[in-house]
Amino acid sequence: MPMTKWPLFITVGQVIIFPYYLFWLKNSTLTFSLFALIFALFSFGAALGYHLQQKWTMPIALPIALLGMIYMLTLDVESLYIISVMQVILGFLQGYFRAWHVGQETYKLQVVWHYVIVGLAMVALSTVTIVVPQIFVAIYGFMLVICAIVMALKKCKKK
Amino acid sequence: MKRSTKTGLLVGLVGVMTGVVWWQIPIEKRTYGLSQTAMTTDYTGLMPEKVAQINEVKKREELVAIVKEAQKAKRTISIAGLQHSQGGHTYYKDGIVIDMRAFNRVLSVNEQQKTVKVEAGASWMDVQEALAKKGLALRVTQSQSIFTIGGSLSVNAHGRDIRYGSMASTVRELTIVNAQGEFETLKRGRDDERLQYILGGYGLFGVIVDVTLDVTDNTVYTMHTTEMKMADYAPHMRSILKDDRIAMHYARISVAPNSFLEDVYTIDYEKMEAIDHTSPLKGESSERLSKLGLDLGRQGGALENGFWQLQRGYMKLIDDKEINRNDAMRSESTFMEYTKPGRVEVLQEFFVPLDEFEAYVNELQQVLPHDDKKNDVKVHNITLRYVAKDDATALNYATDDMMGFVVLLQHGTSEQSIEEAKTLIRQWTDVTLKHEGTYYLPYYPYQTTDQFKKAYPNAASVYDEKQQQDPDIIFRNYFYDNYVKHAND
Repeated sequence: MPMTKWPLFITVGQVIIFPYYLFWLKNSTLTFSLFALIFALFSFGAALGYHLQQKWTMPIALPIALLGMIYMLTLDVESLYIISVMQVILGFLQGYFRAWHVGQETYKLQVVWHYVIVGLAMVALSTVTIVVPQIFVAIYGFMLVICAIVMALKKCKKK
Repeated sequence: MKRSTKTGLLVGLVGVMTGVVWWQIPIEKRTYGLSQTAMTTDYTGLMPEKVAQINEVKKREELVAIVKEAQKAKRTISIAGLQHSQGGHTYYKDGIVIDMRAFNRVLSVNEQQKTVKVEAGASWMDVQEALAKKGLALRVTQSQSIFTIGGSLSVNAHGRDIRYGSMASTVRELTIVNAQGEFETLKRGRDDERLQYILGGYGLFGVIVDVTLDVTDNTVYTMHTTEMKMADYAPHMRSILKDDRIAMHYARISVAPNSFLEDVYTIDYEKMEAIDHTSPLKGESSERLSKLGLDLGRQGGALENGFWQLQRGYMKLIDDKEINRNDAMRSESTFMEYTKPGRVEVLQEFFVPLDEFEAYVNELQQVLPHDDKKNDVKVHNITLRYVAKDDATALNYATDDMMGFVVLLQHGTSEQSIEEAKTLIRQWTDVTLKHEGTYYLPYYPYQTTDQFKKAYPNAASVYDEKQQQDPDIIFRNYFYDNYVKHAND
C-alpha cells in the first residue's frame, strides 16, 4: 500500500471499530452516568492531542502503534481506573492523529472515500454477529501495530 | 488566548475530569429490581424472569383487591420490598409482584410500652429515624438498615444483638392479608402456631401489612475490640454470654491466605448507663476510601493479606469508642457494592452450635482453599454472629445457640462459574450439616433439596401447612419451587 493510503485505512478502521469499542466500554461500566463521564475523558483527551500536535510532532507511526496497543488492551483490562486512563490516552492519540491527517495533502480526497467505505463496511458488518466486541477491537489494534511497524520500516528505507 | 494557556487549560480539564471519574467509580451502583418491560431480578441479578404485572401498593385495601383478583385470574403473587434476597424470593414467572416500597409509614411509637407499629414496606432506616427521636432503638435487626421490615421478617433476620434472639421473637402483633384475601391480626402468645409460618416464611403465607415490634432503649455502648486465635473464640463467646453488661457482639475471622481461618478479631458492645435521646443517626462516611480498600482485598492473595491488616488497624482505632444502639445497627453499606461486570458477590450463611465451633472451623480449613486468588470462586469475608436458640419459626435456622458464619463470596455469572460455586457451597453445607448445623435460606439456590431437608426437618410441615392455607399456591416464588415444593418428595 502506498504511504498516502495508510491514513485512510486508519480513519476508516477507527470509525468501524468504534461502535464495538463503545459496546465494550458500556459493558465495563454499570451505569450510563459513569459511561458518559468516561467518554467525556476521551473527548477532552482528543482536544489536548489535537492541540499539542500543532506544537510538538513525533513520527506518526508512534501514535498509530500506541493506538493499536490501547485497543489490544481491551482484551485484558477490567479495572475502571485503568479504563479511564486508557480513555484519556486513546482520545489524545486520536486527536493527535486527526490533527496530523488534516495537514496531509490527500486529506480532502480521502474524507469522501472515508465516508463511503465506512458506510459499506457497516452494511457488511450488520450481517455478522459479534459476541465479544473486544476481540474485534483487539484484532484491529493488532493490525494498527503492524501498520505502524511497516510505516516506520518504509520510512527508514526511504531515508 | 495564548498557546501555553490553552495547553494548560486542556491539561487541567483532562486532570479534573479524571478526578471526577475516579471519585465516581467507587459509588457506582448496579441496576437490579422490578421491571415490567424488561426482566425482573433481585439483588444479584442471577435469576432474571419476566413477570406479568407489578402493583405498587399504597393502601391496605389495594392488597385485598390484588389477592382476590389473582384468585379469580389464577395468577400467582410474589411480594417485593427492597429485594435484597438473592434466590428469586420476590417474583415469579408471569406472576403478579406486589411492590411494597410505597407502603412505608411508621404508624405509631409507644414510649411507655416500648413498641413501634410500622407498615411492612418501610425500611429499618425509616423506623430508626422515628425511634431515635424518642431515645428508643430496635431489639433485633440486621447490621445494615437498608432492608424493609416485611422482607426482614419474612427471612427472620438476625444481627449483632446477643440477648433478644432472632427478629421473630420481637414481634408483638402482625396484620396480614391471607391467601383468601382477608385481613388477619395475629398476636404473640395467642397465635404463635400461625406466626411460626409467616415469620421466616419467605412470603408464602400471606402479605405482611403491618407489624408491632418490641423495642428497647437507645443505650450507649463502649466498643471493645480484641484480637485472638480461632481456638480462643468459643471460650471468649461463652464468657461474654455470661456477662450481662455485653449486649451486642460480632467478630470477623480471617480469609487472608496468611492467616486463613486462624486469626479472629471481635467487637463487644458493653452497656453504659446513658441512653441517647439527642444524637442524630449516623450517615455513611468514607465510602469511597472503604470501597477502594475492599476492592483491593477482593483481588485475593497478597492484597487480601493487606486488607486484613487494614481491618485490624481499623479495629484498634475504634477500641473503647462509644456508640449508641441505633448507630451500632446501621453500618455503612454503599462501599460494599461489588461492581465488576460479569461477576457477582453473593452471601451465604452457615450456623453451627457454639460447642461445635472449633471442630467445624478445623474441618473447613481442610475443605476450603486458603488462597483463592486464581480461583473463580473467591471467599472474601466471613463475619461471625451469635444467634440464640429460636422456637418462634417453623423454618428455624437457630435450632440451638448458634454461631452464624456470614460469608461473602464472589463468582462469575457464566453457567460454569455458577456450577463451580455450587460445588464449593454444597461441600461447605455438607460440613455444616455434619456438625449439626444449618444454613440460611434467603440466598441463591446453591444447596440441593436433600441438604434443605436435612437442615430443616420441619420443611415437610411447612409444605403441609402451605397446602392447607393456600391450596391454589397463590403466594408463590422460586424459593417455593426450588425447595418447599420438594419437602415431601
